[in-house]
Amino acid sequence: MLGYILRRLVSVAFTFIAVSLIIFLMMHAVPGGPFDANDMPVSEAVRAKLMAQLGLDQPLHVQYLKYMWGVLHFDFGVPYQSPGESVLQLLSRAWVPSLVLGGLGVLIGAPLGILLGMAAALNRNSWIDYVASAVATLGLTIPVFVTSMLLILVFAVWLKWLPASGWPQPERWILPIIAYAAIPVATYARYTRSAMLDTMSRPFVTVLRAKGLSERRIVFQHVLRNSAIPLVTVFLPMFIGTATGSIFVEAMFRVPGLGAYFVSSIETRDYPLEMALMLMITFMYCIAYLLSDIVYALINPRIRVGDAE
Amino acid sequence: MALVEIADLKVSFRQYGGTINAVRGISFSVNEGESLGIVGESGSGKSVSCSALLRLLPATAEVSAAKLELDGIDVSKARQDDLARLRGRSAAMIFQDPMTAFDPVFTIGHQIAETIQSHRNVSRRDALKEAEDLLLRVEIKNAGDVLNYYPHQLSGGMLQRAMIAMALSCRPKVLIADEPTTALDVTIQAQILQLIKKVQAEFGMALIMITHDLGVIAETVDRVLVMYRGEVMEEGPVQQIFDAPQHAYTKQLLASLHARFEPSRGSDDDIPALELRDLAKAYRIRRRRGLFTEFSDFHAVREVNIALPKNRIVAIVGESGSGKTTTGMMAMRLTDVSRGQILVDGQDISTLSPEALKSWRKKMQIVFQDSYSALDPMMTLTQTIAEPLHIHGIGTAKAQQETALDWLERVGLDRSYANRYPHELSGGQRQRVAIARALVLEPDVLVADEPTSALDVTVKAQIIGLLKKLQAEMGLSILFISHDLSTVKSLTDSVVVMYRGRVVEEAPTERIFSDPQHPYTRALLDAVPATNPKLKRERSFLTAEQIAAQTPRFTTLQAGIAPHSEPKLVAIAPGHRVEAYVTN
Amino acid sequence: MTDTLVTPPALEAAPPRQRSPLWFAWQRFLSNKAAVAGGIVMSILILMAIFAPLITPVPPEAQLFLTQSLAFPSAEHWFGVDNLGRDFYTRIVYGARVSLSIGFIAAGFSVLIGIPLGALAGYFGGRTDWVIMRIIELFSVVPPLLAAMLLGTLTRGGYASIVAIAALFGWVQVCLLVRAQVKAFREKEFVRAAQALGASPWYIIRRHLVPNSISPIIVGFVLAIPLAMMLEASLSFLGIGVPPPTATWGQMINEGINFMFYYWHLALFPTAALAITVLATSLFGDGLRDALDPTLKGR
Repeated sequence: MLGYILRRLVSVAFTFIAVSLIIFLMMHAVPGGPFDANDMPVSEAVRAKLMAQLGLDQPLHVQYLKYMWGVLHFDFGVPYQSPGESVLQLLSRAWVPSLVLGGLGVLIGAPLGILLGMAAALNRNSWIDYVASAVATLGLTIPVFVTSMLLILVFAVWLKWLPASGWPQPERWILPIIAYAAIPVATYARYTRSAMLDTMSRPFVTVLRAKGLSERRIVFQHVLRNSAIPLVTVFLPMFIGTATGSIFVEAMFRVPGLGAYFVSSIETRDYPLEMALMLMITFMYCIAYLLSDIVYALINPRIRVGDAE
Repeated sequence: MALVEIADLKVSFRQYGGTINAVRGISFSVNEGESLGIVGESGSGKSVSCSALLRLLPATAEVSAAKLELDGIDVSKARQDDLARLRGRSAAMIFQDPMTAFDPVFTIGHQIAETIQSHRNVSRRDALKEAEDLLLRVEIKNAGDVLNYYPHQLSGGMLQRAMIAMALSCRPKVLIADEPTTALDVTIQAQILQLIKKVQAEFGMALIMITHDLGVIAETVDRVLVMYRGEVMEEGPVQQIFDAPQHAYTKQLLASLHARFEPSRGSDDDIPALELRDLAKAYRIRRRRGLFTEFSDFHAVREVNIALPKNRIVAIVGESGSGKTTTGMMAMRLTDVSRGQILVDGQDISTLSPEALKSWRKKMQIVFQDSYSALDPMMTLTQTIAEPLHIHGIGTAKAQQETALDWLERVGLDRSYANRYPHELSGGQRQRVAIARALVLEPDVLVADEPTSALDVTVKAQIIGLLKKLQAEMGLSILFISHDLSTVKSLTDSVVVMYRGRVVEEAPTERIFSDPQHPYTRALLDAVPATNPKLKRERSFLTAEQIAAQTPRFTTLQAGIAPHSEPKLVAIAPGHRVEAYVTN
Repeated sequence: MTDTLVTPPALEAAPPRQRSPLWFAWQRFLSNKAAVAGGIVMSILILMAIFAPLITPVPPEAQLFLTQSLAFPSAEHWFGVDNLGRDFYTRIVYGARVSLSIGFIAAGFSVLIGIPLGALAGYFGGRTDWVIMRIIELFSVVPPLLAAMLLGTLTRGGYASIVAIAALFGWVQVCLLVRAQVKAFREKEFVRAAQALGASPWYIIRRHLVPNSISPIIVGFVLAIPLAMMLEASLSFLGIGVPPPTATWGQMINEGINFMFYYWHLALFPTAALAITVLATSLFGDGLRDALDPTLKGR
């Protein structure tokens, strides 16, 4: 197990470095710099001085190495658009709304989805099944900005029940959380349903019946345990994906979260911010996948206990 | 009142495009303490009938019966909780594949204990204690350890014993065994059958044994039901069925058991068609132990020497783990060789590059076991048979097609099958096509790796007959790999017995069966089920250590070779060699 | 010793043809009403896109109705008029052209990239598989939308780059599907038989493994379409997609948001159009996948 974890860590590290390199190069391949915006015209001399100050005049690989060195010390530099604070500070501030809304969306959506999926699997081909499958499909296929738009149109514009912007008062959180919860509900409903149906069609379930176990016991003890594996492994990546904020939800509900900053950082060529955001999110995904693998290894007795005698 | 009472049972399955009538009105009954055998080939409905008795069939099944009673209760009208009580207590069932019968995420002990606890009010500790006792009674010596094992940590034979223990845990009145030994090695099969008889007697149960193997029937039951395509063909006491069968189908089943063929003509040429010299295969395996992985070498095959004379059929016989399949794969160079040489007609092909090897491929071909995956589902039969010609660029497309059609007929299928796809054929028909594909290039050597093991008994005999006919016509040399000793006895000229990667005995077929020298060969032959109930007997089984201990010992004088610490093959008669220790 | 076999009736003429697995798959598909509905809707949309000039009164970029800007739906303008005086219905229909064509072409490229990589990874295993899986891992940890945004800014949008970007993020799914199928089939006996005949790996992949992977390929293709469409819509929504004045739904949604609180029709129609298209394609794709799945779970 230990060897397995170490190997995965190394693999993650390599992936991370490769990604950082690619992003760095891509960022700097976009023509122009931070001073091209029309609202900040500066003379050539001042521009050159500013570039030198920010270290943008040095060769790319030097910039890259300097930057990565800083990253190892958790120093991501200073954002161009608000030089008064460090990137780290800005992001910590910005992450709060995304984490709260996205996180709650997943934490509420996942259990709902599981219940829906279970109900569908246990009442196969009944109306419950159709409703659950429809909900799952809708949640997964309708883009999140469409959902947000519809939520705003219906609840804020037409019915006027709920406010249309999502921050900071808690009652404003309701609509964005619903928007965020759509994908977890749909994903878990679908996965749970198919995992359970798959498990229930396996031979050992017939044997369990032949032993005379009650249907309740069969489902809740055996089927659930066996179906849990794909559900667990999909949780962390989904959480990361949602808790880092959706650009669209934050745009529609005017939430000052990570997503909003990402768009602005690309538009204003704010290298430190862009880079930090991409790296952070990539890193979190890497860790999420790694942890999922580990949890899977722990749950699956074949891997945990070792091979056959 | 009978324990099991079934009258006019009909089962059909709904499917797109119609229904399949799996069982068409059968009736039988079983009394307490009786042993009934239901024998039939695939599609006979034997398993479906017994599953229907416990209402274990999927929702797509429609079951109707005039009477369907178990232990006095009408099964078709029983409520869910009545059913749960019936299952396990009145009747318990054991299945064919023990590996898929257990829940992989719970320990064996847990699964046996939960059965006990769901039928009786006992504490978990007591249930586990009982489970341990049951495991001991099914001859699992380290019962305490096994309680904490997960299913994937046990071998097939051990798991089957555990499944029997689980079935016995609620003292059922009848034990239904659905092909319990089909997936097991011959020696393990014999042990499990003996175990089933033993526990049946000890627990005073009735037994319903479902199988396709007449030998199993002869060994275990008193009364027989012969089924074919959902109907009962014949019914009667076991001795009568074997000695004086009435129905044509029963006669056909029995005839397949006793098929015999002419011996091969052989050839004057001394150079063997295929010779394996010091062939060995070792695998590097990684085993996970706690935090670390350790590497070790697994010797699948250790220096075997086998010679296949021209125009003869040599069998390689052994159980799982003997290395016989690996040997066959190496001979065909489908698996890399770790050490040794492969000589085809005197030429060493073991080190040839893939390009150089290609032309040699025309001289040796292979037929496999699993006819389901033997043919590409997306190719028609003619395309499949013509493919070898296509790969080697022999003849025009039209000529290839003609040759393929000729071969279709030669293996016993009408020309009109030409544009069919594999899924439209039965198992036996697919195997015929596989044989045609292997022989279309007119090879000298054919390796047949368990070609009939997956087939029904009557079909098996037909395919063997076909192989024999083609061998005689083409002068083929066949290396016949099998674990089925009765087939080997009827078909082959000489036998090589493999055990744990080594050859332990080789001799002409009659000698192997009449005068086996090596303890493993004897154990193997002893384990073969009887062909007639008169011949059934108690057996004792040797462990691996006992086999090693009983290996014959010769002195240098007798053996004619130098002394050696490892056992070596010693010639004790013309063509008969046995592995033995050679001492001073 | 003579042959004591009972000769079986083996040489009779072939029995009537049985149903092929494809027929069963078709039946399964037909029984999935949602999938059939999705398929019908998709076909209608495709026809609409192809015959757009025939079913719309005016060209999509023509600003002919400036005096009636922002008009609500009426008999004359079914979907109303947008803020630049263009007939909205026309723009929505032409928007279908962009979305559907990008969807299909990008999915096509995804399949073209995914099949060879998946087949190689599945067949050769070992190092090749490891390398390809590492590449896939790279693509998985980078948040696709953000990376797409970065790439979009790099290329300044435009039709071709959007297709390329969508293909770049869609091939992973197809590759995984093909890889799984090839791995499963690789151990089958007919592959071993071909090896025993001396066939080269390339022949085996081409002749045996790829044809047997048709169903995951089709499923992968059809499921890649909505993903590509959503990506395009997202990028257009953010302003880095297909540039104006070409009508695309993503752009229209972006603009529509500004008018959402009163002139709701500018936001509603493109949103609904996108949602319906993606939904129909996804339902169709899901139905195909369930129908072609040989393991028949939950039947």
